[in-house]
Amino acid sequence: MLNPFSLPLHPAINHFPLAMLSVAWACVLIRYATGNVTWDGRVRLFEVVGVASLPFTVVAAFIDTRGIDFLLDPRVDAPLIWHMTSGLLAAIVFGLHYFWRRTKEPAELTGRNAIQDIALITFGMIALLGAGLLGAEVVYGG
Amino acid sequence: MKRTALLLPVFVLWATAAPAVAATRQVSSGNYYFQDNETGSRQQVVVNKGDQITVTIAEAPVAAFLGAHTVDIDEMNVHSGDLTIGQTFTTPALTKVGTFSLYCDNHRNMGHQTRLVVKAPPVESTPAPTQDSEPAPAGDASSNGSNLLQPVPLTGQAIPLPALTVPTPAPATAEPAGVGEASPGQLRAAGVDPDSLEGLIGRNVGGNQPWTRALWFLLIGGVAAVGAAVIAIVRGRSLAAVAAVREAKRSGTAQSSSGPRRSSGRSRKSSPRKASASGRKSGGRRR
Repeated sequence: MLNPFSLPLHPAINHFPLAMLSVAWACVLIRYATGNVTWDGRVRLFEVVGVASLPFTVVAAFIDTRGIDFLLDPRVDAPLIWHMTSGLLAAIVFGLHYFWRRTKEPAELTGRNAIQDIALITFGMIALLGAGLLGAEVVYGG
Repeated sequence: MKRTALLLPVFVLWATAAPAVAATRQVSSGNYYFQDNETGSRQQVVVNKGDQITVTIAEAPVAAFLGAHTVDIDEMNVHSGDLTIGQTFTTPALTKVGTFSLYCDNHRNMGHQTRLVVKAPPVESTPAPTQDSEPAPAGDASSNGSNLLQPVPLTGQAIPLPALTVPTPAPATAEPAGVGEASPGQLRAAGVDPDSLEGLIGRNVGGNQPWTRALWFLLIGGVAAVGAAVIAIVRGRSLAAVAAVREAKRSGTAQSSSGPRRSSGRSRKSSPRKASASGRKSGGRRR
């Protein structure tokens, strides 16, 4: 019988940062593409929820690695390690981006700051995408 | 002599009737079904009493954390334990007649079960014998695993037959019960769930691929993300350039006295460095 306590925690929690940070990235792009600074507030809101949920996601992931048997299978070693690396990298980059952006006024996000803003969050987004794809390989891979 | 002649067919039939050979029904198990390979049915598996079932695990569970596939029939105390893809599980001879549930313990709540019907050996209705009737050949007396003797012509005279004990042959075990390994051919024979993605699009996009395919998907997604970022930056710069031109036009048409007020107004919101830069810029334009 399926035991609910044997189910992993990480896949249930990671939707929050994935959704919030992806939307935050989209909001950053829209903000620069339209020049409308009201999107900065939306970026901040989405990103704060995403970044706040990151520690829970990471802790749940480490709990899962000790409690879910199939994660100990050598077959998933390589994608699992790269999934963890990529996920942690995404968490760090988004955290840095959030705290860096807090120090900037909307009017300051022009020129070099704008490029830095977009580059940082896009790098985080790519790391998040990689973590997601590798996580899918861990779970669904043959 | 007459009695001997009459009993002869009986002995011949008894001697030639092949012992019941238990059939072994091949069943595939996947996500999340049991499929009778002979009939293709996923609704039920129908066997005769004494038959065995060999279940081949044709697919690994969709998500490994959901647990492995198993083969269970509670009423017959059949419990295979966890099975991996490529393994088979052969039940002992099914000796109970009735309808049972053949299910996977880990995925029963996901519909991984089917109806198992174990039929009793068919009892043929004996036609009224006549004197002229010939004994039926016994060739397929056990074609379905039963051990039926064919009708014997009788003359109507009561003949005391000797006590003839026909031993009920134990069902011959064609396959040893328990866990085994499936041949690759058996795995290929496993059907595709018509409701699966593979069943819908006609090709397997799931397993049997190295995990590094994720890197190719990441490359595609990364290029798209960087492209979107570049577009946003370029568009933002063009918007800023247009705004600057408009600002310049407005500054050019405005009176020179309005310049310092606008400059000081912007400096309240922006940083001092940017305010001074803005002031320099507008001052330059004014010149």
